[in-house]
Amino acid sequence: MENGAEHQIEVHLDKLLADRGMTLTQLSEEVGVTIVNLSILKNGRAKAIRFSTLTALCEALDCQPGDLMSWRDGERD
Amino acid sequence: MGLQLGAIELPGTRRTITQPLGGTVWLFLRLTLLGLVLPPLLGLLNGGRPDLYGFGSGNVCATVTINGLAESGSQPVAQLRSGMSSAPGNVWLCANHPTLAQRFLVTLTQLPMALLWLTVLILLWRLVSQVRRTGPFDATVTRRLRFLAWFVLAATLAANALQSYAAAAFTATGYPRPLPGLVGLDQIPVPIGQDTINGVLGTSWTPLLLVVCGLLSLARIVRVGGQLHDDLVGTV
Repeated sequence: MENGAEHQIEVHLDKLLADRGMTLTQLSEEVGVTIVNLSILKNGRAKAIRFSTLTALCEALDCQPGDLMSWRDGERD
Repeated sequence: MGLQLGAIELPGTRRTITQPLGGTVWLFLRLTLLGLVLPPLLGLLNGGRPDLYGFGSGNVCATVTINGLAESGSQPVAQLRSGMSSAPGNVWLCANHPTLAQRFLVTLTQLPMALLWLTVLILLWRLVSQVRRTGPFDATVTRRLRFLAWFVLAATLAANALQSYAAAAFTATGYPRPLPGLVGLDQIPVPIGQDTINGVLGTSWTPLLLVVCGLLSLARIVRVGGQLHDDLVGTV
């Protein structure tokens, strides 16, 4: 994959939020990331995620990074 | 945390990063406009003969090379010590009762560079305004920088060629021989073609190439900066 090309990482933030009965607003307040940025992450429009953001999300959602995101093989779709 | 996404979005930052270019361009634009307006006004106030770029009612003068007008190319300009020599180069040639063609030619010896200067100032002002509107890392800023670079190169060469041609043609009108207008100038012993080529070759190549290469490199730097900026915008 070339640098700057579309990525194939899926973020499962909506599923984790639903499982824990949390809203995006609550998560935003807990991790200190704006709703706008969380929406970008949730909708797969983020290009990168900081380790600090990932740590805060994992703490708030009590999950592993692997629960939060997965790789989708675009060629098999 | 290292890089701050909002670092260039602080209030007033866009205005600040365009300095000192923004202020300098602003100053030179006003001085240039003043330079265009003041001479005719002063001319009107002093003797009622406003003159600018060959237009007006007085005589017209231009700096020309002595080629073609010199009776002997080896005549010294001044008496000098033994062991030193001089040769005629540029002269200040005036037509005391200029024809319309002579006025037009004198205009062409000055106006192209003046227009180039004014256009570059306007292009720089548009660049500064663009940076203030969108920030430095916008594709339009890259395009404007690249255009400015190629424009400066092409327009400088064109202006030099035109001014040299006009100076040589004006010199030819001073040769004591009847002129059938501008037609047949090549028959007069003023090497107009050669003077035009010499004018282009005599361009100050070092500063010109440095400016053009600098602008093209700056455009590349801004483009790479734009890609980094896009990545930062997409970082959560």
